[in-house]
Parts: sequence; structure tokens; C-alpha cells
Amino acid sequence: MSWSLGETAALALKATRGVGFSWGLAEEAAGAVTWLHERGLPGAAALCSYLGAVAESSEIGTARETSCPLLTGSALSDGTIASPAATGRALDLGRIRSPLLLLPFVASLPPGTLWLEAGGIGKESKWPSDSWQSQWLRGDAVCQIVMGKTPQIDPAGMHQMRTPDPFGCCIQRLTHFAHRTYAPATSASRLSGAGAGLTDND
Amino acid sequence: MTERNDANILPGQPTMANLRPPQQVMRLERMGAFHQSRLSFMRVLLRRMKGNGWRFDRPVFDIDSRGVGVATYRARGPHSTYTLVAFAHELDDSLRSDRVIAEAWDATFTLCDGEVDRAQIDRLSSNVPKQEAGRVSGGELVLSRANKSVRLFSHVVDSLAAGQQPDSRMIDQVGYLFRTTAVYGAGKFGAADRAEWSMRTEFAGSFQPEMLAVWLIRAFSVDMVEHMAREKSPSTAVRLDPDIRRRLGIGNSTGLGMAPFLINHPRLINSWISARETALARVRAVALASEAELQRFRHLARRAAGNSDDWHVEDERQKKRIIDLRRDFDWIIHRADAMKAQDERPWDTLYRDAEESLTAEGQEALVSLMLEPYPHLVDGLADCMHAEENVAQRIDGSVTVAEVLAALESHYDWADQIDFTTKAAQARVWYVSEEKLEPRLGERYEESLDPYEQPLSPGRDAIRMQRDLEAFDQDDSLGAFLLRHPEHRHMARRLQIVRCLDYAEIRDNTIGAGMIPIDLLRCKLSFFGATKFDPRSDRWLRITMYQGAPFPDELDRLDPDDLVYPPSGRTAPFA
Repeated sequence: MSWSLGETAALALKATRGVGFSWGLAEEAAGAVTWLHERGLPGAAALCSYLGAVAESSEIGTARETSCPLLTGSALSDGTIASPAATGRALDLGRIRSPLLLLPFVASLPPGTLWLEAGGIGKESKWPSDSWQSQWLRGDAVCQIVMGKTPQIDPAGMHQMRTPDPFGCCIQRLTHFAHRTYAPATSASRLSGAGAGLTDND
Repeated sequence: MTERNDANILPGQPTMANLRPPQQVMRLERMGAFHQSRLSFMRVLLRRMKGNGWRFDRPVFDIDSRGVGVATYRARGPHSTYTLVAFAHELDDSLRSDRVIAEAWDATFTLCDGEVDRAQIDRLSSNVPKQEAGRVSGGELVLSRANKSVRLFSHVVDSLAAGQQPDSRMIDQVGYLFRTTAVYGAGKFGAADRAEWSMRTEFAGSFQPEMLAVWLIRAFSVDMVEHMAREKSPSTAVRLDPDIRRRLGIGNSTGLGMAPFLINHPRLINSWISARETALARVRAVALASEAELQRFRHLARRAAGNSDDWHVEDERQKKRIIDLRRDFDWIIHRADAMKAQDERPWDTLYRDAEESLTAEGQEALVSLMLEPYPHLVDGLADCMHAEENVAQRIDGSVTVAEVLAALESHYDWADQIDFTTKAAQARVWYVSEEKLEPRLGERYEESLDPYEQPLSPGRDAIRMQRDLEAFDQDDSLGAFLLRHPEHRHMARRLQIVRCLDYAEIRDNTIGAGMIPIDLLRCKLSFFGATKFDPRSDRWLRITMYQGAPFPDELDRLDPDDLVYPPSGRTAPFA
């Protein structure tokens, strides 16, 4: 079984909203997950891991906001955190949870050749490999953005159109978070919500 | 030296001078009065397939005497082949429901990319009949289901079995043998994403795979009655007369599930409405109409009037609007007869007068009719009716708070007119129900729905953001504002999308007590090409699709654009 990227994005949006992020940040999560899967990277797993941590610690907010890859990525994207391309210096971001989610934001910054380094994963790291997965997907890592000469992820690798079968478990967990956005049905809403009450047969 | 006259300098050439302003067009009441036109997606599909010589056949028809089995319908074009796989089921009358909570249907369908073999049919047979509870793959484009009109289906089968044609009055009353209750495409339930097929020329525009699936479902519906008649009485059964057959469309029940679409896809809606408004502006700019163009208009006006005469609904609001529309057609026909080839800018004059004299329903019917004589000015716009949308479109966070406030003032000034502190202005909540995962509309002050509210109220959200922006440092950046106020991130992005697009935003309160959801549905369905809108409540309606259109076996010799209008028109004034 596989999932279309449209489905994956819609699920990421709802799941992120489901654990308490605003709709606008949930849109950023959906965009990031799609970006990663288009390049064969495990976006659903990264989001699943991050939302799981958030759901357990209810840490959204200002106290540790710099550790959130979505808030940090959005601030980079908005220009609120100055990019190394503007300052000419490497940028230390501190500890970021599930840093893989930050990658789409960094890669999309002009001029397109900024690299995200985290937890000892250097420029020469091969994508994807087993060594970086646990740290990038789960847990957190000290992150830095540096200037590179080429894009960190080869643009030629962008050809994946589906979220493949091994992500079934992540899809299931994201579906669980997404459920929090659905209102429980009541008999009143059943009748009025969709305007029922007339026969369908003719 | 003669006086400069642009009408003579640019005869028949496009001009943007007469584009109707969004303040006029993007109102729910007007959008809820739109009619099908040359730019409607069903018409675009049939015109394109006819033009490119598409061929159709039915490789499999394995349906038993109870009407249970599988059939396939193949469409072959210059570059691609698509196959509709139709599963026919036996359904107890008590289980037949058009609502999304249904779990069984008379027939279920999927449109496949390419040819299908037995193995694929086997895989689909264990998924497609389950609809939302099953899964399709990237090799499928559309998932759909339909229920019979039991009354008409039985009547047609019985008539044909007895060697007779069915009662045409009954055909016209119901208008379809099957009505679809959902047509899912674009990545839903595992189907291929739009990105996988949007580059194909046959699918340029919007909803083309869905329109193809529905058109082939219509062919299946007729094959089913003819098959059942033969099974019932092999020696006496006859086939449907082609002229009667063409009066059968496909019904469709559409509810709130579709309503948020227009709000969730501002870029796409802008592309649809821009195309239609541009077409209207081009026709209004025509300097002189030829006698042939005027004749075409007069002829189709009478046939469209006939269509309104045959449009019957129970809904009181729509019933009144139809009566007004019939009167409006008297005016249109009278004016059409008086138009002359030497009249300058005849369509602009006609349209301006119509704004003074006709209801919104009549004005919009006229707009669609005015496009008919001008395929060379209108039809090419169909290829522009799509948009690349990105849920996370980058926000330019460098603009100042003062600049954002100015943009809000310019694009959401209409929302300022609504007092969102009143209960009536926020009476409704859009939410998704846990039961069927479909959008619903609830009463904010009667149910505890606030935590589940979907972001489908741009007017209210714009005012909320404005209030917080006013309390922020005006020289600070939007990015800094959003770091403090992530709850406005959705609205900030939306503002940056719609500020460049005139027709992207509905300029009405979408959560007010007076909002009528079927206005949203009708706007979208008119772009599909639906006719005979039949509101069944303020939240769902029935429509007919492809009524009058050629069937696959006659597309090569009939004009689908002409057949949208009934063959015989009004002969005497309505009023």
C-alpha cells in the first residue's frame, strides 16, 4: 500500500493541528513533509516522531520555541532569523527537535545552497543512510546552517510521487493525531450538520 | 479626420476595460446564480475529445441477469488510454442513501490510467466497492459511486423489455438513471495526485478526469437498462431511441463536503472566475456582431429559455428565482430579436441594460449565453482554468506591519462592514465530523464546536489579525509579528495569495447566520457544467450532468456544445 503525496500532506496538516499548532504552522508542516517525500526522505516519520514528543510534553509555546523545527523553520523562511547568505557567517540554531523537518526550510532559502548540519552529520554525509536517521528523525541535535557550493539535496533526486508502504505505521499514528481535529458526532449534528431529513430515493 | 473610435480600430479584439469588479462578482448571492457556459469542464472535455478524435469501446461487459458484475469502458486518445471499471451491485432499497454515511451503492467505479487486465480488475473488485473504506493506487485517477433512480430505472427497463420506448415525460422529470453521490479524484484514497497527470494535454484545465469518469458512467447507466430489459424479455426487448437516450444525464447529489472547496482553493477559483470574466469582457468588446452570430444567440436564447421552463424544484427560494428567470428570458429574447448587425458594441449595451433590468439569475444566464457565438474568443481560456497551489506558500515576512495593515484595508475592506462582535455574524462553525470525516456546518452558540473550527472564515480572520496588528509596532516586520502570533499565520499567507488575484476571495461572511451553503455548491457545479440545480435544503442539492450530451458512440458526428441546450426552445412568451 502507498499514499499519494496529496493525502500525506492533508494528513500532516490535520495531525499537526491536532496536537495544537496553529493552522498556519500546520501548513508549514504539510509543506515540509511533502518536500521530504518528493526527495525520498522520511518526512512522515520525522513529523510523527516530533508530534509524538509534543503530544507527550505539550511543549508548544514560547518557553522552548527554538527547539521546534516548525517555528524555527518558519522564522528562517520569514526572514526573522537572518540567513547565513545575508550575514556571511554560519548560523547556530541551538538544539532542534527532529531536525530533518528543518531541512526543507533551510534548503528553500536563497540562494539554494545552504546546508543544515546537525549532530555531527557533516557535508559529506550520504543521503539517505542509516547513521543519521535516529538523530535526525527522533530526539534532538545541535543544528547549524552553513554555506555550501551545491544544494544539500541533489535536485535531480526529486521524483518520488508516493509515500511508500513502510510508512504505514507513521500514517497510522498521524491519523490518530488528526482525529483530534474531528468533532464527535451528536444526534443533533447528524441531523442538522449536513442537512439531512429528506429521503434520497426517487 | 474622423473621430477616433476604438470599436472600429480593434474590432472583436479583447479588452480588459469591461472586466466586472470582484466587488460585484465575488458575492455569494451572485456566485449562487452562475450557469454552465462554454468554459464548463464537461463541455471542455467533450469538445477536446471530439476535436482529437478520441475513440471509445466497452472491452468487458460481464453483468448477470440480476444486474451484478463488472464492465469496462475504454477511452483512447492520441497519446493516452483511460478505462472506467464499473462494478454493478445488488442493493436492498433500504440501504440506498446518497449521504456520505452510506456503505453500499448500486454501482461503484474507478477511472484507471491506461488499459486494465483481469488482475487489476480483481484487485479493484476488493477495494472499489468499499469506496472510502478501500484503497486505490497511483494507477487510478478517480473513485466514484452511484445509486439508481429506482422509479425511472424500473420504468425504462419495463418499457424496453416490452418493446416500447419509455414515457418521455417521466424521463424529463427525473433526468437520469443513476446519480453519483461522490466523485473523488486528485490523490484521494490513494489515487494518483494531480501532479502525476496535470501535464497531459487532454487534462488541461480542472477536473477533467472526474468529468471523463462521469461521462462514461452515463454510458454505463444506459447499457445497464438495455441489458436488464434483454434479460427480462430477450425476444421483445428493444434499445433506447438515441434521441430519448440523450435526454438522460447523470444525476448528482452534492452536500456540504464540497462547500469549503471554493474557500480552500483561492488560486484555482481565481483562475476559473478570471477566465469567465475575461470571456465576458472580450465579448462585450466586440465592435459589431455578424448576422450569423446574432442568429446563433437568438436561437440559443429560445432553447435556454425552454430549459428554464422545464426546471422544476420544490425549494421555495429557487422556485421564485426560476419564475423570475423565465421572465428574464422574455426580456432577453425580445432584446435579441431587436439587435441588428449595425449596432455598435451590441453585447456591451445588452449587458449594461440587463444589469438594470434582470435578476442576478437572469444576468448570469445572459452572460453564459453571450459567450456562445464566440468560440474563437472564449474557448482558449479553458486551458488557463487551473492553478499550481502550495499549501505552504512562502510568506514574505520582511514587509512591515503597517504594510500588512494597508493590504488588509485594500483587500478585506468588505469584512469591515460586518460586525463580528454580534452573535449572528459568527453563528456558524465549519467543522469536520468524526463520524464520516466530512465538512459540516454547526451552530456555534448551540454546540461546543469552537475547538474544532476549520479556517473557513477569511473575513472574520482578517478582522482578528487586523486587531492584533494594530496593537503591534507598525515598523516591525510581519515575520516578527507571526513569531508572536502564530495563530495568524494562515491568514497572513492567505492575504499574500489573494492580494495579487482579483477573484480569489468570496467577499461575504461564510459563517454568518444568513449564509446559504448551496450558493457555494452551485458556483462550483456551474463550472462543472451542471444544469437543473435542485436545492433539497440549504445544505445539499441535486443536479443533472451531461443531459443532452452525445454518448461515446455518437461524439464523432454530433456537436456537444450545441446539445447542451434542449433541441426545442420556447415558442411563446412566459409572462
